[in-house]
Amino acid sequence: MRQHFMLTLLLSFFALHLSAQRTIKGQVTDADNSSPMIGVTILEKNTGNGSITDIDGNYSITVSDENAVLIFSYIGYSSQEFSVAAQTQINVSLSYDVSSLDEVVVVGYGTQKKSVVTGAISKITNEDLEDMPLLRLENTLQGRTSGVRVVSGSGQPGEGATVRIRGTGTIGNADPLYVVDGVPIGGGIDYLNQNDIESIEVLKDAASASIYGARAANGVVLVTTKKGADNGLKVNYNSYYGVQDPTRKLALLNATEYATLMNESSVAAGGSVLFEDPQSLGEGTDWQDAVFNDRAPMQEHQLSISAGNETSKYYVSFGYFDQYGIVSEDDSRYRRFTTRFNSDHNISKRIKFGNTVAYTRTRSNGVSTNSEYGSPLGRAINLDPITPILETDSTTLAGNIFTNNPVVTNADGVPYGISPYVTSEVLNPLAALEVQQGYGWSDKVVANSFVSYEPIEGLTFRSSIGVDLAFWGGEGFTPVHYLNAANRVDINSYNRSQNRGLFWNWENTVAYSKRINNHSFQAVLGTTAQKNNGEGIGGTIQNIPVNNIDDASLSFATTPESQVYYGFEYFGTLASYFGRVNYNYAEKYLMTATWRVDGSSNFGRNYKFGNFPSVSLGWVVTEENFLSRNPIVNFLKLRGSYGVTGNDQIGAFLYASTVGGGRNYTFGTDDNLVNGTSPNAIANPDLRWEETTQTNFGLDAKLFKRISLTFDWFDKTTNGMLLGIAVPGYVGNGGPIGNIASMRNTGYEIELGYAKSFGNFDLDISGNASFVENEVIDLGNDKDFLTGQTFSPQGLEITRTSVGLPIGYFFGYQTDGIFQNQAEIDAYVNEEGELVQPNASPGDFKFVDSNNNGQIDPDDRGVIGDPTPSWTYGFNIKLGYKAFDLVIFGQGVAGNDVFKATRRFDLQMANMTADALDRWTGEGTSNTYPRLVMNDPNQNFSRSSDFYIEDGSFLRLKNVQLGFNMPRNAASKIGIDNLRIYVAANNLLTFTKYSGFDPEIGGGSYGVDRGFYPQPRTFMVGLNGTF
Amino acid sequence: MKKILSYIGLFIVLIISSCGVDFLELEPRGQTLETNFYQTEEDLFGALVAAYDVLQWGGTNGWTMKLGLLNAASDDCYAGGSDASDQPNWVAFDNFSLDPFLGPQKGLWDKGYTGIYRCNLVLEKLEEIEGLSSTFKNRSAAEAKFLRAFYYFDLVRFFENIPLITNTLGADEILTQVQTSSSNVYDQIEADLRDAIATFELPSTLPPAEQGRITKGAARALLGKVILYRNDDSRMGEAIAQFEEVINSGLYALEPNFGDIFKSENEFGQESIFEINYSGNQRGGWGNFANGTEGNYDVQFFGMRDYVGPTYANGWSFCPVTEKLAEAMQGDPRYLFTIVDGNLLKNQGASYTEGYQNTDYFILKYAPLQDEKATDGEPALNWGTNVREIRFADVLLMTAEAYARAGTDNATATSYMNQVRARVGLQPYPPSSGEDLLNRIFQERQMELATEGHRFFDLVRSGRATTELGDQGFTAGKNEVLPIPQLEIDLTEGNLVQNPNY
Repeated sequence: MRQHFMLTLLLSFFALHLSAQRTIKGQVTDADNSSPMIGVTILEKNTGNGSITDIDGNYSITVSDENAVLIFSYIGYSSQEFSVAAQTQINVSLSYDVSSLDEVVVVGYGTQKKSVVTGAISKITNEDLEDMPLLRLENTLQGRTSGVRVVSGSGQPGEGATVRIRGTGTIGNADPLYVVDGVPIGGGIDYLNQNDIESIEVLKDAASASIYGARAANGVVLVTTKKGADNGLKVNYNSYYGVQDPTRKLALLNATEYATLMNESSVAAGGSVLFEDPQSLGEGTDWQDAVFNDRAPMQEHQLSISAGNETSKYYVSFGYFDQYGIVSEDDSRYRRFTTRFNSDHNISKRIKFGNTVAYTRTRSNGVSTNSEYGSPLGRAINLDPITPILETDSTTLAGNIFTNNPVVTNADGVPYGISPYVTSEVLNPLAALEVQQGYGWSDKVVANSFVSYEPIEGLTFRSSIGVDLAFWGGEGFTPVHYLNAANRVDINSYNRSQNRGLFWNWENTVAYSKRINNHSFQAVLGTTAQKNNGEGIGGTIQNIPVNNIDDASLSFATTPESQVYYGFEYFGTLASYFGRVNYNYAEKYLMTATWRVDGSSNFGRNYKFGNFPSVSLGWVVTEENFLSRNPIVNFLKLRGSYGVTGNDQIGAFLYASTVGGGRNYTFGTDDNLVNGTSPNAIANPDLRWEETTQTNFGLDAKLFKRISLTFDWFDKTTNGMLLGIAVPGYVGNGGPIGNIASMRNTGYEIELGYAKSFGNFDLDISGNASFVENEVIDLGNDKDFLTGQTFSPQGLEITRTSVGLPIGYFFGYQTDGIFQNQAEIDAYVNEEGELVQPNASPGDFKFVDSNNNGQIDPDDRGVIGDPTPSWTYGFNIKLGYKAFDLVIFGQGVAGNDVFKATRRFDLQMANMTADALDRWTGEGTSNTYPRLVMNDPNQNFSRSSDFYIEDGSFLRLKNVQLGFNMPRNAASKIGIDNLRIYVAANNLLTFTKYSGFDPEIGGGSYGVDRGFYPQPRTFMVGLNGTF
Repeated sequence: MKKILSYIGLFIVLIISSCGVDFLELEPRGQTLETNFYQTEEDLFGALVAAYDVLQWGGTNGWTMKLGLLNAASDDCYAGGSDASDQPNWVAFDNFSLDPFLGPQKGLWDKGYTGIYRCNLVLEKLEEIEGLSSTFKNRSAAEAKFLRAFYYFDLVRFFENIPLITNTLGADEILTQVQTSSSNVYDQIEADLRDAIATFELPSTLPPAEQGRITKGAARALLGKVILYRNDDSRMGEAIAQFEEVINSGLYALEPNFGDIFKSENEFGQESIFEINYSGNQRGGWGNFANGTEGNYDVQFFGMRDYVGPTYANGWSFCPVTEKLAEAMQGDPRYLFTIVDGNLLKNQGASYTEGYQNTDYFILKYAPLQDEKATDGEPALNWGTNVREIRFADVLLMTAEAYARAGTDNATATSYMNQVRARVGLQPYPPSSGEDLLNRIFQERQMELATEGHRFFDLVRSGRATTELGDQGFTAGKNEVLPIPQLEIDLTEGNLVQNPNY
């Protein structure tokens, strides 16, 4: 195989560069307005020989002989073929063709012409992604398609993102299904190198997705990787280097301001003056400066070779990516190595074989990204500015703390400062990073092979086997250390884990297509079986004779008590049968129906198999006589669909009743304890998938030849979301997990595109916007709400999910300004004439008595915000002028809030943001920021309230690029087909009212800023050359 | 076309035959499933132990110890505690301000039905699993039936109108249960106890290490008691038969000294017929407060709050003994072994904080003793004092009652009662009959069994509740039973009906 491949490479190489006998020249123009067309591809048929028109529409190609046939093609235009014969000059005019715009769209278990697609499918092609420094597939989806909301987990290198297709579909696992070249990828989608991606299709409505049945309820993302070139050989090298910086620092109190405000706060509570001379403290320490890592480098290199002939095609690639984080110099970094080998072969006229193989290795280390309990940024925000980074004061160093404890020192042996004011987890962030040692790694192979056989025209049998084999693990070391009184470790420990997961699927389909006059018919029928299993082990060893991770090992001899190990295993299976029928009449009346039956090991005995049908209809109005050849509406398709999908990510064996111990009794005069066992909860043989039904209406249109428009409206309802069932006490045991809750998402989406050339000036604009509304309909018969996120050790409840409201809304008290004087407090009385807030003083918040019961109590809490945006949108502007191009890609959200929980209110001496300087200090000074008083008797800060809520809408320029394409003539002189050099900026500008680091807060602490690790602003230079 | 279809047909046959449903039937690793865990005698014994476990539960849905609650509901004791808001559910049972939400009903309900579920599971598994020795199988079944009867007896007395469930409920049966007549429940209780008694393998005596398990004597005594509670005077002969078997078995006798009955060394002593075993050395903590410890919480409840002084450990001042009981027992030799006189202790230099409804009288029989305070774990949750559920003196008095109610042999009735009196040196009662005799028996029960949790049900079943408890707030036709927990009615969407007048 490999020899064959190398031979092909060599042959192709010669084919390109051997001198030929004839040169053809000419110009290509637009039939519509006779303007020259740039970038038209000219290929010599059945060879690897090709050329491209320059900015004046001129081309030149050398062909082997007069039998050569030239193919002129350009996206959106009808291709034309010309026999060369004796000609040396061939001028061509290409005409715009609506139907040729019909790219092929990848659908589940097949492809379809876009013009006859009846579902709601968004597509991203490799052209949209070219030279975009996108690390992960999730980033690729962000802002580029409608109906997809992507929220970065954080700005840490390698961090994933939350992807929600058409809203959050469930209170359970709402991640979409990713299928890469036919292999469903369960975890670690970051193994994909975006340069290898040919196209991404997002199946949004039930009609498109339900062919994936019980895994499709949250939408399906189909990724297709690149195939070898049809002809010849192409080598592409693609690289960039960039530096990253934080975009914003918070204005925090400096040491003088801090001391002043702490004095005020202490005195207000009846305490003493804490700092005698605030002025003497000066600016103090800027912890943000200490923690942020400016000019953090990132780079990527990718080399790919694409080659092929009539029988075999290959695509091979190699990529390397390395990114440092903008927080902490050494502890936040991600490296990835990828390689891929894709091939396709026509073994005979009827038999085809192909495979895709990808191997990816990653290594990452990171810091806590959004936590009030010990993220470097959270500490930087909360730590007092008086404490120095390094302690050099000899009196302090001679003190008990530094002399009697294993304090942490820097590389030069100087101890890090320890705050006497702020305690608990708010440690010196640099010292804490020093003792946090460890990294994670993964090795992953994803491969898929298929063979297909076409015994007679139109009938194809296909069988494929896909495998996702992943190894992952990590190690960490905690040395003996003292960070503060609450955080000391007297015995070092080292842990290491190794895990392995194997997923395979075997897929068999038979497809048949037939066309009889205007009746076009396609059907596919298939089965799949898949199994997912894995296991892991890990261990911790304590008290080993080393003081850093490089020397640590599990093989040190220690006592058995100093060694702990653990392990786990998981497994699951899925067996499926599916079918789809497409029918169209003259590509005018369209119909698609699908049916899938999925059986899963996760489902209970009574519902082992689920049925997932769908039907969709379309009408291409422009094919009707009354609209055809219409100058305004070139194409118009109306479509509607309805279908059922499921979510099988419900956990393994939840349907079963497990047995637990500890139901003990003592027998005998000596009280002998005897172990009793009983089922932990009753079994639920009815446990099954969460079921989503979705209705979709949409249209695709092409207007004025230049404007493309897609619009969709949808309504999807998820029933049977998993929650614990409350059962009557007479059952005698706890209730099982059951399918009881439901939720609804409705919304609409629009995608618009416009492309036109004005002489040397090309313009291509596309944009999309989506609106989603979420409502929880039912949480079972015993619950009105589920508690969501909490803040601080007090467990302050800050998000809830309640019936009738959107999932995970912000929950708390409403404030109504600040009491400016005692008269206002005295005037705030209930019906009995009692003070509503008897503990308030002037300068405290006036809380709203929402339930009108005459007092402020927990029942007054309600909706104070929503972390989920109503609107998400994105746009991409491409401008071309001669050899230069400018790309502006932006993305944004609107209608969402952020809960800014950056300050640990429970630690009275925690630092504050500078808006505390504008606090209430007397009548009329502030109506938004209350007075400072240490014991906070009115609970101004220790209640979740709208004080913490800020508008989280933003618009972000994700990528701005200025590129220069080396003129073809110059390039070809140095043996290059194509060379683009560019400078770019990521996250150049973010327009937002939010005052924290970054309004885009994903991950487990969705929408809540606990000192969030923001996305960096990156400036980079790159080049992309094809040989 | 035919060719195409045959291709497709062949293809489908190949694929479907290659992938069976077995593929989807997986067994978890690292955890055990109810469906396949119970295989051996050892496994099943674990299930039986879990059924016993419920006997000692006191932390179901808050503090819901049966003994203490029944003391509070009766005229033996008040609710007590630190103040009225300490345990509102206890106070509500004491002054009968119960409503569907307020009261101890949810805990008692859940406790009873959990016990029943575990018994049902044992009984089903014993039938399912093959290869069990008949000794093990029959004895375990008898014990499970006894326990099921015991839990139902508590439930039917507390609630009267309850669903009768004798199998573990399938998913489709969870919400469909309805209440049945108390007579049906009693029939089931009797049937279970008769089955247990008829089981050859159920022992009459136990080796020391097995003390606490069910014996034939316990089953007979309980069956006799159940029959008494059915208030059918024509069936007294059946009760007498069971009691006489117990009395004549020669296995039980009165402790010579009344004051020794509740001493820890006399746990499982000669007077003990059925005891609920607690242990003081299992290191229970607040983490497993809810039904996870092996300790007797009542003991902690009954002690004097912040007590400093000799003999006793401090407690939480629940169930202060009423002045009524103290006065009634004046002159009775049992007073000294029934009631702690707080004023006496104070005079000796001890001190304690007066709790809610303080009378300065406290329960002595289950008082926390300094010498028995647990040294490991949370002491409050680790009192090892066993609850004497049925003791011989109770059986003698029940036998006397049965004879009196049968009306056939008043002399024997009086003689059994006098046995109990004789132990504490009281003069024998002269012969009597009818109401006089019954009144004497019930008065004797009040004295002999004070603060042992019998009084409330004795008053209710004998029609004396209105008279004796009326000043506490007892309403006839309502407070004989607890309200059905409202959550049960809500969850079944009204399949369960609330008890009358609640």
